Amino acid sequence: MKKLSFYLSGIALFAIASIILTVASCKKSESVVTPRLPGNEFLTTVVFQCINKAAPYDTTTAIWRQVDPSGAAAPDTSKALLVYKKNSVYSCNIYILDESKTAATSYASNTPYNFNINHLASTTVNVTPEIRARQNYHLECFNLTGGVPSLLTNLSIVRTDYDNNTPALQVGLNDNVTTNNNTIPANTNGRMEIIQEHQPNVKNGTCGPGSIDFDIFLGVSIQ
Amino acid sequence: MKKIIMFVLLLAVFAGAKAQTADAPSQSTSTGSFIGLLGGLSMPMGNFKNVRYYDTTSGFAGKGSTFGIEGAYFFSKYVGFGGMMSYTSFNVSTLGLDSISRGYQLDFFSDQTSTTINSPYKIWTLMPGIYLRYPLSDKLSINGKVLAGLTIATTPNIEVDVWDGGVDDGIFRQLPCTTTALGVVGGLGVSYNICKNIAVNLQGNYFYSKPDFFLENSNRQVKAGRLINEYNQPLTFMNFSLGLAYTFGKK
Repeated sequence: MKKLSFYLSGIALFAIASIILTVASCKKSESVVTPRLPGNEFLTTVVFQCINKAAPYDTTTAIWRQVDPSGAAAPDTSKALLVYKKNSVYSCNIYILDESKTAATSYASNTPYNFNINHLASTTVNVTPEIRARQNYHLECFNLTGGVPSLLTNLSIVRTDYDNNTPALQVGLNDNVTTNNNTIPANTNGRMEIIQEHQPNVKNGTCGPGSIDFDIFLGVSIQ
Repeated sequence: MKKIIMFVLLLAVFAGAKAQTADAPSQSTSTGSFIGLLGGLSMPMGNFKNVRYYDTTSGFAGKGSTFGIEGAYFFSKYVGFGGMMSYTSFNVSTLGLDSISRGYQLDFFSDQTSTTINSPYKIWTLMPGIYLRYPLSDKLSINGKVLAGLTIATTPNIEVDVWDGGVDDGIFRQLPCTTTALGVVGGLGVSYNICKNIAVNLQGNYFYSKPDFFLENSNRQVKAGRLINEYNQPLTFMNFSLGLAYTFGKK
């Protein structure tokens, strides 16, 4: 009986000691790595549409498209051209589309007035609202190069929309483009680079932090 | 530290055995008064264990462990007064960790998030209260208790590293927060005297407290993703513990 009691005491103490040691070893950190789920939408097409504030019939639309999600094929830049009038202010919108299922044709004709975001092909996904919903960590950045005279000194772009951060930071899906008194012919290689930066947890209002969702070039002329 | 704990416990075993061999009568003459150690498993309950990322009441707690010391003085055959000091820790559950990491990955629309919990929930309690005892035989008794007292609880340290496009977008943290609150414990158990002055206690304790944590978050650059600045939810859990106690005999 005494031996039994002794063994039971030992077992109970061993159990307690095990638990205490378990607790003492609980300082190990836990960690998990979570990759992106498959099946996200592609960003195949960027449309930059500008409407003259003083003359709404004066609209210029550039379409940059790379339907091949792998990026192996060269992008279609045949319609990636903006034609502005001098001494004008344009209200511009960036639209981002996923045409990976079927490339739409109804808005991509040579007639610039054809594009209407509300009349997309059924297989085209308008990703713009999703970017808008995630505006707190997205930023559209613009670079102007080339042109004779210089595009950089004769055209300005100002982002007009803001996110919900505190303080609010610019987004760039809506912009004002202003031209001055000079003309820039199309054959002088004036180009507008649009970069959509994805800045999760690093957005601070500047271009640079984060990664790049797309980086496209549009030809620009001022008439 | 581990060696010291083991040494003390082994010393207690030999002391118990020595006392047993010295005292001839094996029948218990316990008054019910005791002092002892306990240790066991803890199961979180309610919002404390919820793992829903978009629910701000979720605590993400997984199974934990507890140990402590308790004792009571029985001033009558059935009723005594005593107290318990215990330490309980809860890791974030595997489901909870996955939920946090997936939630931030989706909210930041990033290629990858890496989430690390560097310290668990830690809950210290110091609770006096009423102990009840109903002897079924000389050795076996059913015990109950109702305790109320202080709870000192600490939340986990959560680190999330966001990666996108091969770029590390930095680590943001929900820093640990320690706060004190009132808590209550209700418990039931059985006690078996394995020798004159040594008893094994098996018990289940329900714990309730509602501390108000004001959480500090670091490096949250943008308004996106789950951000908890205050967590004021009940911390409820069950402890199932095994304990060894020194019981005091009749004069």
